[in-house]
Parts: sequence; structure tokens; C-alpha cells
Amino acid sequence: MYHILVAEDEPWIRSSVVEMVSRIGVESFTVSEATNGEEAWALIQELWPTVLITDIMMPKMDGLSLIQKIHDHGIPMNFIIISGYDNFQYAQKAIRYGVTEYLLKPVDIEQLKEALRRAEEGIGSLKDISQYMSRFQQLVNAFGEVSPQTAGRKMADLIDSVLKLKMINPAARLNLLRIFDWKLNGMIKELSLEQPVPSIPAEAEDPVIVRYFNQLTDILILHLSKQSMTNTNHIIKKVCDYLHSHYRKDLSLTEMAQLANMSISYFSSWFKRCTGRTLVQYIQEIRIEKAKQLLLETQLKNYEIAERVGFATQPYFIRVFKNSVGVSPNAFRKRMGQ
Amino acid sequence: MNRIVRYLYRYSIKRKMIVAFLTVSLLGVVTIALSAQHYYTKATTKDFFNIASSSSASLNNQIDRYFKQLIQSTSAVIAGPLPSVGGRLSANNEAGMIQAWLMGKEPLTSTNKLIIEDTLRRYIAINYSEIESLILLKPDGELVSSNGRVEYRPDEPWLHLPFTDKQVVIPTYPSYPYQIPIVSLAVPVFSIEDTSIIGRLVINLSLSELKEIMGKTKIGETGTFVIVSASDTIVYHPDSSLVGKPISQTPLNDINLNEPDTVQDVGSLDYLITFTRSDFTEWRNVAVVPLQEMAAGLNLATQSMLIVMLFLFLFVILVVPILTRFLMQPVVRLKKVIHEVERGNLDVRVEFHPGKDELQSLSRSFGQMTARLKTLIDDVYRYQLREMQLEVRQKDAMIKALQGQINPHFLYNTLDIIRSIAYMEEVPRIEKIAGNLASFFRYTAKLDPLEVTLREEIEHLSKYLEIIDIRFMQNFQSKVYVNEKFMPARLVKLSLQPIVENAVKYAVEPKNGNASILVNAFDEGDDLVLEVADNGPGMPAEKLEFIRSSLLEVAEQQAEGRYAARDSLGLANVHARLVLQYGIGYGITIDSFPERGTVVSIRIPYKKVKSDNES
Repeated sequence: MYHILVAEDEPWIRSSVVEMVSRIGVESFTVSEATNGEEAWALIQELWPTVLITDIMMPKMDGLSLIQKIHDHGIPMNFIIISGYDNFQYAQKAIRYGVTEYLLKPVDIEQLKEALRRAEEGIGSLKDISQYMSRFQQLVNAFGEVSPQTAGRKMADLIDSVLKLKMINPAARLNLLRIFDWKLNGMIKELSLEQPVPSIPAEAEDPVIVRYFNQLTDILILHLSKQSMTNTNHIIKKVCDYLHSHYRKDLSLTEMAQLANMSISYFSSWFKRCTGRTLVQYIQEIRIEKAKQLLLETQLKNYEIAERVGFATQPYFIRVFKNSVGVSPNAFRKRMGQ
Repeated sequence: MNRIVRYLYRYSIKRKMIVAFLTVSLLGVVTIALSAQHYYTKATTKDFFNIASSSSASLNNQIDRYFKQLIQSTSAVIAGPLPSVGGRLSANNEAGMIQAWLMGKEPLTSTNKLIIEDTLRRYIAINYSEIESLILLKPDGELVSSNGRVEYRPDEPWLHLPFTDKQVVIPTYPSYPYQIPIVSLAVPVFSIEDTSIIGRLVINLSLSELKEIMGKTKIGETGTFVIVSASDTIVYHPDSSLVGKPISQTPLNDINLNEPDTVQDVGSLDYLITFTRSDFTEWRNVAVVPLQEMAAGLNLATQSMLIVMLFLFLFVILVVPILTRFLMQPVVRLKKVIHEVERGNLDVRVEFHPGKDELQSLSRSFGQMTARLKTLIDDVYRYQLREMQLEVRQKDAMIKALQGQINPHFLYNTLDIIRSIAYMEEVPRIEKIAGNLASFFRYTAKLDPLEVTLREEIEHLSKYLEIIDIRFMQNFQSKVYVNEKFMPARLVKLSLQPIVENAVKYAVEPKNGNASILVNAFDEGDDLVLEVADNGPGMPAEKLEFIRSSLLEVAEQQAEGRYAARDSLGLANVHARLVLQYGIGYGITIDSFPERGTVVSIRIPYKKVKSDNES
């Protein structure tokens, strides 16, 4: 199971690409979507996808800058570019960042399938790393929910296991430590906290490294548990109210982060911490609930319901409904209506 | 004249120069030799005549003087002692005897005769031993000879001469009775008293003194002097057997003695002949010299001339080729260089040395000419290149302007959105038509790269055909039969689909889509032929002819670089681009059969591309 992130500003095209990816292999991976480069960047830090499918021309941050950023931060990932431009400079730049798949719009499902297959082949070496990444992300997500002792112990375990990679995969070890460090420090910075722990060199002794990460974790947990008590409640309420009344619209992470007056990446993790779900999951749940309601209470056709609850198309609605409820909308209506 | 000139052109200048040099030199030498020979001969002959005539005159003179002296000396004897006046004391029997006898005062007694004979003999003995005899003659016929009682022949030449006061010289004749050649002088005897002619003295002279005189004088090695009398008898000749004979009985008969200073052909030889005539004797002293004598000198001159000629000839033979080669060297060098240029090599270097030599200045001019030619050609080439680039740029600009009228990205994006919606809504026809249209425009909008593989062209064509397929629903049929092996072949981008588009326009649309288009490919020698066949209505012969001629015109214009794109992407446009890329002989050909359909063939080079791919 690995994760694919689709970044595309054009909603119809994004939806169709997500749809294509889903059709290609729902069982082997999960798909997320981002409406621009910045959003994608925020989601990457939450979801640690193994494959990024991205357009080049996007607002806020273009695809190539996104890829460059990922590349510069050493985040292991495979890229598939889908572009309306068969521009040589783009292709050249893309190749420099290790992009091997460059698809021209209109994207053909066969081409995409082929590109994904090749990307999957490249995933092998990334699998270990993404495993650590998801463990780390789960741990970070749990900050504020679990006790500081548990969090500290879990972090120490994770760092220990990463440190053990020294002999097997020293490059991955170094990379992971650097990403963890960057992520935690990023969070501290987002929360505008004092940075009491001086950074340590990468060649430091193992115990020093473990102690360093524990210190960072302690600071964050202390703050987050304090924060959950205080003033964030009304903000999450505001966001959720907004989602409940605007689920018909195409709601993006960017939009919601603006509403909450937070950065996209902080909002993303904060929202998940508050609600236990990602924004997309949350919106999807709302829509499915509304759809259920409409199915039972009205005689509206499927496509009408899809439109009313904010699904782009009927097939998409049907697929998502089926995924979350387990049966098709028609079957649901039939069964529940009886 | 022209024929001679043409004939001369067949030989190299070098050979002609050698022949000309040789001819001129040899002609010069021969002319000098001949004229030298001529003038030398003339001068020598003149010299000879001068010498010979003066010698001859001097000989004549000597002979005359001799004769005169002889005659003078006899007068004392004939006159005898003058009679002493008044006395007989000194009277001598002998003295005055001759006079007395001749005057008739004394008869010729035997005593008297003896006395006279004695007197005569004494005279001979004392004075001239060469005198053969002295004869005194009295008009009545009595005679006394120093030879005594000699009976003279009645026809002795001196016997019948009239008794005048003239002295007569009788040319050589044989004497009687001894047959010795003699010359007789007949001298009148005058009376000492009244100076009347009383008798004649005949002096018979042997030729010894004459021989003496003549023999002393020689002319050349073999030249001779001959004395000929007025009556044409030979007075003197070195060959004594001829002496005294009339000239007509001797080999000298052929000599013409009318004119002095002549070269005459006598017998088989040429002789130089001259003579002078004595006033006294009227004899002609003739100098005869064989021309050969003089030719000896002439031969020497001729021989030396021949040697000089030989040397000259050898010199000419040896030196002329060297000279010719020396002169021809720059020509040969220039010729080589010109041949190089003829073969198209304009980078030749022409050597030359400054000066007034025409060939050097020609070489220099030729060098400058080729250099100038080269820059001109380069200029023209550059100019043409620039022109072509300009044209291409203009076309590019035109296409860009056309493209600029629609924002391509907006178009592609919209088509992609349509396609995405169709995908989501699961309407495959729209999805296909929108997707293909986007791909179609994207492919068509870019002209570079100029050449693509047949595979790319066929992919593009397939997208187009799928749209047409959808457009005409079930009616339209199309098939592309192209062997996989031809797929890597390269051809000018956008050359196949416009042909099919043309077929759709003229074959499928008129039949409401109820038609088929067939695309196939085959190789033919080094070429690859793509055929687009339809079963449409075809076209009438005139229309076909018109299209063919306009294709031809387009190719010619393209070859001359003045083709201007007229219709957007029709047959002519494709043809023009193919001709521009691959040259005349490639491009489009068209065949049409009314009511049965049209076949358009695209011919492109194939082998070369194939080998490139293999390498």
C-alpha cells in the first residue's frame, strides 16, 4: 500500500486523473489530491506519498518548483509530470530532478497506467523509507492525544530503529534523520515557540541524537497539549461549520487554511489532529452523509444528488459512495427504503 | 586556310614552337649559305676576269714588243753599209750587196747569193737564234734564204703577199721542210736611195721565244693562255700538237670568242674565258681556266658553310626544346591550374612572378579571377542561404501569427477539460474526439522537428481518422496497412495526414461518408512509397491534368527557391515541402479514375534512412 498525490489546479482534469488512478489500482494504493503546489507541499509533509503526479502550470507554486523543493529536501519520491506543454526546457529541468515520466495532456489512461507501472518499479527502494516516514507521521499526529511519556518512548524507539540503519542503508538513515529534524523544527517554528535546543551535527553520537529528538518532541507535546485546552476550539468549530454549509462547493485545503488563518501545512496537520481525519476525508464524509439523506428523503436521480452534494460527476459519486458505504447509491436506497 | 589552322590546333604549342624554330633557323642558315655561295662566286669570277685580262694584255704587249724589236734589228742588215761618198776605199763586197741586188744594180750571181746568204746567216747567229730562217724576196721572184738552196713550196704563205709597206705577221704554221711550227713576219725592204719598196724580208720564227714569254705566265693551277689569230688558227697553245691548226679542228672549237669575260660550257666542264686583242698582230690572247679551279676555293667556303649549318642545326635541335620548355613552363603550370578550376576546385594557388612577362601577368590575373569568383560564389551562396532563411522565417512568422490568433493553451486545456468531463461522465466518444482533437492540434501547431518517423505520422493520422470515423458514424471506413519495418523511416512532418484530409474532402464528404480510405506503404528501390487510395468519385481528366501541372510548377518554383505557400496544407504544400527536403523526383504523384477513386502517392528516399538506423 502506498500513497499517490495528484497536484492539478484544473478541477475537472484533477478529478479525471484521480479517477483514472483509482481505476488503475484501487487495491494497491490510496490517492490524494492538491489544487496547487503549495497545497501539495503541505500534504506531502503529512502524507509522505511515494508518487507525485503533478501539472506544471499551477498557481502559488508550479510543479517544477514543487519537485525542486522535494528534491532539495531529500524527500524520497517518484514523479509523473502531466503537462500541456511539450516544452524542452521543462523536460530538461524535470530530468535534472530525477523525473522520468513526462506525459502530455490529454492524458491517456494507457499512458498513465504505463507510467505508474514504471514508477512502481522505482518504489522498491523507497518502501523502507516511506515505512519510517508513515511511522513518524503517525507519531506526530498523535502528539497531544497520547501522554508525553508514551510519545517520548515511541519517538526514542523510532529514532533508535532509524539509527540502526547505519550499516544497512546509511544514506536513508541520514535522510530520515534530516527530514525528521526538519519537520519537527518546522512545527516548532509554526507554533512560534522558543527554540531551546541547539541543532546538532549529523555525525553526532547516537545517544546525542536520541536525546536531541526527545527534547524536540517534549517541547512540541507540551505545547500541543496546552494548546488543545485553550483557544483552538473555536477555530475548528468555525472551519467545520463552514464545511457543513459549503460542502457543495469545490473546497480546497488552501481555502480552509486561509479561513483558519494558518499556513496550509500547519492547518492540514492541525485539522487532522483536531478531527482525526484529513480535510478531504472530512468533506467526503459530509457529502456521503448528505447524499444518504437525499437518497432516503427525495426521489432525486443519482446525478442530481451528486451535483447537490458536490461530487463532480455521477460516476465519481457512485464510486466514492460505494467505497465508503459499501453499496451503490441505488442499492442503498433500495435497501434502506424497504 | 581554316583547315590549316584547325590542323595546327591538333598539336601542342610546344611542338609547333619546336617546328617553327627549326624551320626558321634552318631557312636562315640555308639562305645565308646560298647567298654567300652566289656572291662569293661572282666576286671570284670578277677577280679572275680582271687578273686574266690584264695578264693577257701584258702578254700581248710583250709579244708585240718582241716582234717590233726583231723587225727593227733586221733593218741594218737589209740596208747594208752606207756607200762612202767619193771613194771606193772602203768598198766592201758584202756591203750594200743586198741593196744592190734588190735595186737591180747587181745580178744574183751564185757568189752574190752566197754573200747574201752568209750575211743573213751571220745576222741570225749574232742576234736571234730562234729565227729559223730569213728570206729575202725580190718582186720579180728571186729569193735568197738563209737556209741556202731550199726549194720552197709555191703555197708558202709569205710568198704571195703583195709588196706593200705593211708589216704582216703570219700566224703559226708548220715550216718547210722541217715541219716545225713557225711564225712568219713579212717586212717590206726599202731602197736606201729613194725609199721605194724594193723587196721583202721574211723572218721565220720558231716559237721558242713565244713559249718563253707565254710559259712564264700562268693563270691558276690549271689555267692556260692560248693565242688565236685573226683568222682563227691557233698561234700558241701549251699543247704543241694543236699549234698551227685552225680552231675548228681543235677541242677549242666550242669556245665563243666574240665576247671577253664569259663563263662557257666547253665539253662537260665550265670554263672561265677572257681575252685581249693585240693591235699589232690582231691576235687574241685567250685565258682559259676551268671553273673547277675556282670552285676549289668555293668548295672550301661551301664546306665551312655546311659545317656551320650542321652546328646550327644541332644547336637548334638541342636548344630549341629546352628553350621551348622554358618558355612553355608557365603555360603548362597555368594549364594545370585551369584544369583544377574546371573541375570545380577554386582553392587553387596560382604562382606568378611580377614583371612584364605576359604569361606571368596572365597567371596573376587568373589567380585574381578565381579568387574573385570564389568570393562571388560564396557571396551568392550566402545570399541564397540568407534568402532561404528569410523565407523560412517569414513562413514561421506567418504560422506563428496564425497560431497567435487562438491561445493554443486555452484550446488544449478546454479540450482536455471536455475530455476529462467525458471521462468522468463516461462518454467515450466525446472523450476520444476531444482528446484526439487536442493531440491533433498540438501535433499540427509545431513545425519542428522538420522530420519525424513514419510511426509518429501514422499515430497522428490515426487520431485524425478516429475523429473522422466518429464524424461519419458507421458509414466511413479506413485502414492503414503499413509494415512495421517501415515505421522507423523518416519523412517530412505533416505530409501524410493532409493527403488523407484531402481525400476526406474530395472523396468521403461528397458521398456522405460512404467511402473508404486505404493507406499502405511499399519500398521501391531506394524509395519508400506511401499510397493513399480512396473509392470516391475520382476526378475528370482535365482536373487531374491541372493538378499534375500545378504540382510540377510548384516543384519547379521550389527548386528555384521562389515557392510561396498558397493554400494552407493542400497537396501542393506537401509536395513543395517534400521537394524542398528531398529534391526533384520526390514528392507527390496523383492518379484518378472517374467513378472509381483517386490514388495519391508520396515518394520519399528510404534506403539511406534505413542504413542510418542500422548503424
